[in-house]
Amino acid sequence: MKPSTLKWGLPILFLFGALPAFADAFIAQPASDYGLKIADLSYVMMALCIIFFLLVVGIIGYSLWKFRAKGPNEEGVAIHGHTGLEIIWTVVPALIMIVLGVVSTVLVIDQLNPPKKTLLVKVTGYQFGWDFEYYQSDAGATGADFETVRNICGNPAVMVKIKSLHVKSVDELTIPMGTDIRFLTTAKDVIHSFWVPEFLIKRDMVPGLVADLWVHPIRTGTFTVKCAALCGASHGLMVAKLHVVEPAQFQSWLVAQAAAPQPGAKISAVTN
Amino acid sequence: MSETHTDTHDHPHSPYPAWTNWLFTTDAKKIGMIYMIMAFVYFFVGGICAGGIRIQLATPTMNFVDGVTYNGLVSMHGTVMIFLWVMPFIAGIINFVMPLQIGARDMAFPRLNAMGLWLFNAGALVLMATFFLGMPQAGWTSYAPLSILDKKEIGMDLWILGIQLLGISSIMSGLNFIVTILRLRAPGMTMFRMPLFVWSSLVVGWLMILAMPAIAVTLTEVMLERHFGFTFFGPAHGGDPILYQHLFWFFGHPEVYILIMPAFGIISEIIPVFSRKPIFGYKLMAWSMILIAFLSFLLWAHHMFASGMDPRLTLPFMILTMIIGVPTGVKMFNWMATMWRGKIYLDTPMIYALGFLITFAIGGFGGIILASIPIDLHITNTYFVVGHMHYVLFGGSVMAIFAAVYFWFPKMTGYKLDEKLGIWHFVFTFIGSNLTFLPMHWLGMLGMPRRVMTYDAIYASDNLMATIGGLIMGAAQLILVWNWIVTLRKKERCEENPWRSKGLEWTHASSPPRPDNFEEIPTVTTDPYDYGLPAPPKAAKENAPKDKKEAKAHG
Amino acid sequence: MADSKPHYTHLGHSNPWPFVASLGMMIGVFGILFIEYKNPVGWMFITIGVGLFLIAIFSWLTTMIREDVSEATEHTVPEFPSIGKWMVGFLILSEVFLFGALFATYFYLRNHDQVYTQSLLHFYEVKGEVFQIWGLVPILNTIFLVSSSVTVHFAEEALRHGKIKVFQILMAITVVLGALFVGGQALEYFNFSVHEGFTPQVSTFGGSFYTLTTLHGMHVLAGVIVLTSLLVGSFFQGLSAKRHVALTVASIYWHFVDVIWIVLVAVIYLRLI
Repeated sequence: MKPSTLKWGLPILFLFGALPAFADAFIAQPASDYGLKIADLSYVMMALCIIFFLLVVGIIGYSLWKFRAKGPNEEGVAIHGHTGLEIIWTVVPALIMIVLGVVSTVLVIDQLNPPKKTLLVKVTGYQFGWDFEYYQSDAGATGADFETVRNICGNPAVMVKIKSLHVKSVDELTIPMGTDIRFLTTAKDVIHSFWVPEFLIKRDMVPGLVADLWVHPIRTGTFTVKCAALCGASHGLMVAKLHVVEPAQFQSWLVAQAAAPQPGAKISAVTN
Repeated sequence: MSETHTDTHDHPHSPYPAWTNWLFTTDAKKIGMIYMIMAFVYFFVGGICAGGIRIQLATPTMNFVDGVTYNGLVSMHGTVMIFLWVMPFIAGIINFVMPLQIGARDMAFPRLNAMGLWLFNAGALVLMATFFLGMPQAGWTSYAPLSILDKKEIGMDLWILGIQLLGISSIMSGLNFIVTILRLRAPGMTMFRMPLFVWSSLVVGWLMILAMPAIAVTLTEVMLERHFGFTFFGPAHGGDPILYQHLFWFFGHPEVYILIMPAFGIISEIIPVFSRKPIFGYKLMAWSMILIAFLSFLLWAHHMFASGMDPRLTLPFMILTMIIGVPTGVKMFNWMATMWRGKIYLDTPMIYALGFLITFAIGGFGGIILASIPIDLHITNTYFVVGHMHYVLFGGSVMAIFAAVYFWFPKMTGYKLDEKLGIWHFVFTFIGSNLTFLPMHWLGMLGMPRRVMTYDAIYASDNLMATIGGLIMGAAQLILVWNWIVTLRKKERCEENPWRSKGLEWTHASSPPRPDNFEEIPTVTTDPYDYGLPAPPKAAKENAPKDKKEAKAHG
Repeated sequence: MADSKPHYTHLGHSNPWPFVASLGMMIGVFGILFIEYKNPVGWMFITIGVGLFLIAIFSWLTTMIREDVSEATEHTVPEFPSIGKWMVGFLILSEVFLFGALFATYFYLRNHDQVYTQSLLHFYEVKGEVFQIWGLVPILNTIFLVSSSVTVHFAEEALRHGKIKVFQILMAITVVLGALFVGGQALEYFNFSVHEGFTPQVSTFGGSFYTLTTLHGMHVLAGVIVLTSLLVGSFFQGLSAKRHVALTVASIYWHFVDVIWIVLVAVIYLRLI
């Protein structure tokens, strides 16, 4: 191997090898399996963009070095274009976009089909707090079925069919790890947005509309739920605590709340 | 009333007193100057708003302003920079340069042109009133229901009315640009002999006349719902907040292409001049602008991926957003190819053009990342978007604006701006802006939402860096102001065509131009970027030494 | 192409009317603000603003007519017809997008209501019953407006053949038909709101119906004013067989206003889509 290759090759290799370690510093640490996929895709995209950017900078830098005018009144070469090159740098980016498009579409479809049996949490935002209401659901509605999602929360007849465990919590959300959880988002006054950075997905909370997203948490911990849509003077302060706990722990917590409601408590049971 | 031919040449006859020369002018060059000067005034106003924002965000425990003031600064910063800085500067530079570049004496409708100017000033005043009567609270995007909630928020109403006046002004400008370019070109200037700056002006005109109506309708509906009991967006009586977003972004997305398209035109003018080479792929450059403008009307909902709209409907918008990246990339490559095998002169306009290539590239890559719906659902409404947008707006449009200022200042005034000060202006602007906006990408990925006045402690160091960068960037603009003062005081005349440009505005008009632009309208016989010497013939190339070593061996 | 000197001869001249018109609009805008906050001083501002605006537009137009009368013919300014027609053409294109945004609002809200209530006709209900907006007045209005497009077309023909008197009669009929349309709309609005409870505020249908028809009505009114000015101008030699571009431009605009009405009838009144 020529010495010049080693001279440039080693540092570059080191840089790219070391990059994954830096990735932590650049993106939220995923706490759901969908989040892992998003983090991976983001990392790949960012790396690709950095590579292409360095290429662009390199070519510009090289041009400045090689083609700099040395004196006044010099002229360049009168090249008007090159069809072949233009085709290449139209087709190659197009192909890259196609790949990105296909990968993204697969991930979108992933979210469109939530599992049939989920823990339902209805998240209602308002200026400037959060209501979380829990339901058990075998309703089996798919993410694509908007009327059903809307009707789950708007239609009293359907509500009754949902199994009776219904607990409400304010500004604090507890969910079990390793379970499929579907969040139904809505709002009381203006548009807010439900975002747990570690789930790498958000959904707006819109008054008059029920939207949804689903997650499968993969680790326990305490996270912050942030409002990600400008909603008024205290938008930056509108946060809630998210606890992801072991499933057994979650069950006992839930049952305890339902069984012994404290008047005025933050967590209360609501019977159907 | 009889006009002699000499009347219009040097001293236009005016029945009004001398102090009205600028107030009542219909001369596109004067109108352009007023637009550009006012634009810079508002650039500083918007900059002060940004300063307020960045000071508040310098540390997580800062209490520089309260929530209401903060949201007001956020809303006005965006509004002022878009509507009172970039758009009027664009109107101004097109007014001054475009008629000269096409060999016309003025715009097709000079009085309509003046009306556009004064409506702009009127709208600007209405917006400025919010600094005294209360700033709007809902961002420059004014989403409903937040924008219809507080009926006593006078800032919101002033904002709506101001933007309406500005929108009408833009439509008037757009009409003028289109008809002027299509009907008033000099003999011999076919469409594909027009400079690319003229192409970008034509495309921007189309964007303005087709996009502005949507914001006029949207804001009228907001106004009617706020004060006259109508229901469009409020869910309580059958309205839908998502309707607002569709209507707004149908305007909003073409709007951002209005902001960048002239930048494309400016860079396409400057790089050939300072590479002494024709633009690479002229026809593709023209067609790519047309394609980008057309596509820009079809992808508005990429601002709404997380909005709660039917997720299945989001897919076509993602695809179109990815498609529009292709012609944009082509432009980047063609600019780089223009420099290749040229002879590059690093005067200040070219330095800014190079800065544009770098920072616009970063912005473009951020855009590609945002185009992917699953990634976007994480980073939309976060600082990643703030970083991306400022790279394309500041790193794109504003860099090009600065390039245009240095490039055409000699044409407008007869003086060249000081090169050394120009370079310092660039250096601090470049360093400052990158320090400010680069960290925002990972701030967003890590978890910082946008439009917030505080944040988690872990984001503190990046925010402090951004604030410092912002202060550097802001201070750097004073160098430009100093350059203006110094240059205009020195009154040191430069050559008529200091950049050896082949544009008609340089070859056939004086610096500054006479009131009717040309003594005689030129006839155009060549392509617009007739730079460079023919490539050496192939035979000579074959005999030439294959590389440096061989050349040395042959002596 | 000839010298690109634009089609007027006042090149480089100052003109105060754009400034005054903008000033009028700004004052009017502050007037609207006052009205929004229920302060009647707003009406004073609006009056002053609209007044300044109309004075400015009137002076602007008379300047144009006066300078053209003395200077321009098709021989001296060959692109004169083109510029006016091109401008009105692009203006119409812009207005298509303007009305388009309002139609989009209408369709979106109707669909939204349908999804929410599962009913095709609930959107059109006022006081529990599907409200009927098609009736005698819109039928007559349609006849008036379509006829006025015909009369203005023949008026243009007459002018081009130098038959000024015929032109003036047909123009007068056009203007009267247009005014009848505006009057009819006003009458309809009165009946709907006062007698039948169908106000703009009553529902999303009310809001979208009134915004669409009012915007259209304002365009008809503007057209009536412009056509009237041209008619009046023709008594002062403002128009002739050789100088009829202003009329061409105005009549293209008038046809556009008519087409929008047809679309309104088809979509909103007859609910064909």
